[in-house]
Amino acid sequence: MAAETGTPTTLTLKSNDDELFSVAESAAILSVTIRNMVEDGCAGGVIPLDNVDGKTLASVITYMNGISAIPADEEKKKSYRDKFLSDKDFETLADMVLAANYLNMSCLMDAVSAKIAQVMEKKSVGWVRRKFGIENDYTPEEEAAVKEEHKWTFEGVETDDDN
Amino acid sequence: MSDIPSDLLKEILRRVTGEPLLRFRTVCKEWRRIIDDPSFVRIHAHTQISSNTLLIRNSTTNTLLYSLNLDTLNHNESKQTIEVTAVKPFSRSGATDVPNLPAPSCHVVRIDRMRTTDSTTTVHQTSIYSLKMNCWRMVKDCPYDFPGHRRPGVFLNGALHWVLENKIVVLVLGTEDYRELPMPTKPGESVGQLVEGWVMNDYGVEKSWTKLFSFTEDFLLDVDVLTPIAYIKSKGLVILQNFDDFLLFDIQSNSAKMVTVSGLPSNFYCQIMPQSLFRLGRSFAVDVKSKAAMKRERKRKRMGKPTIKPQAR
Repeated sequence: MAAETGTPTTLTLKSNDDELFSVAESAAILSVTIRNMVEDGCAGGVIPLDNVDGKTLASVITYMNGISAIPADEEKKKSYRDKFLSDKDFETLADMVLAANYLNMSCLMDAVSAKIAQVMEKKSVGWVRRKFGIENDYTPEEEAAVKEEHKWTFEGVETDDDN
Repeated sequence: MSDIPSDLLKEILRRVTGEPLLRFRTVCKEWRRIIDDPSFVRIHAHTQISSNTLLIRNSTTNTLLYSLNLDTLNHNESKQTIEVTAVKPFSRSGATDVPNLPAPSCHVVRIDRMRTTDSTTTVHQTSIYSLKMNCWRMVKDCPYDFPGHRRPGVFLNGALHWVLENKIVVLVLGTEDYRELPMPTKPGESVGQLVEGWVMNDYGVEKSWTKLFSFTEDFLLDVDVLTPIAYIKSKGLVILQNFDDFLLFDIQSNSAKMVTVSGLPSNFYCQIMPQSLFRLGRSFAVDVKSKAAMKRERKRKRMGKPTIKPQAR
């Protein structure tokens, strides 16, 4: 794994649904998980990423390439992140937060968490339950009582449609 | 997709502002437990450092609080449009939760001008209200000459800030010490009604003062009352208070317009406030205090000691 000047090293990543992706080592090591593998010298062949599917990994690699092409300018990186995440739906964002966590990519993790939080701001309780796959374990009486405690926070909430 | 582990969920939830979080206590019992957990409340408060919520207080009676979401101020309308925006009374859970702090105000820090009996010197006595102890406590006197009538300090980086004539006076709440920050170097002779906005990019570094904008406006009666309220970086928009109206200044197009919000008291103070989940009034801080007091009480009884304060030597 000696850093040879001239030809950039390329890594091959494999998703949990057996898709293969080539990515420049310099971009891939944004993931601390991958960097550790490279440093331990076990990135020679194919790197299997058991917790990430192909669709999500493709997205993450687009991000890796995009962000590593930007020089050290935090403002520009931030606007790239904003643009990168702007057209992603909730399901994609949720998959990406899990992938970013598994790959140990704090900058992507922060950006995706913030984006999800922003999406949630005006959403209804029903929307959150549906999107997060949460079962309501309150009895109707309990739920009404909890709602009553902060009734004013239920004003101005988006109507309960998807996306 | 219920498979987001709870530490990741907390990472997301700490970035959600206070109002929706209180709504999401209704999602399920697990979420209510997370959102009510005191350690989460603290982490959340540390995360929510910027905000688009303006907290508005009647400066005459000091009683009613209002909140206004800055996103509702529409700056795309043509210049000088009068806007009507609903303002709702704001509190954690009903009006009773607005902290019932002693008169004369809701300030948690107060600075009183005291004149010595022979009227020769003025002392600026500083008191801090502690929710934990539920009382006012005197700290160091303020070494600066504060005008009797002034706006509340601006909270940033754990400190309160007041702009005095040629400096910024800072009260660091952690150490309860006063310090000062330099103002940007004075511009030359100003012509007419010149308004300049400066930003200190690195906190405390004098050289980092950068001019953000400057403009002249003829319709302003008195430039001195103009107070910066917020700078929305993403929109390049600066919001200033001008008497009981707001002035929205667009940096890009170098244009300003007045916005009047109906339903506000005349003569108000306003400040940007992050929405934290801390409870005031019947807060857990007060509960901690009473538990500690009970513990001391028990200990005293057990030791059989009378309550005598240690004597100072």
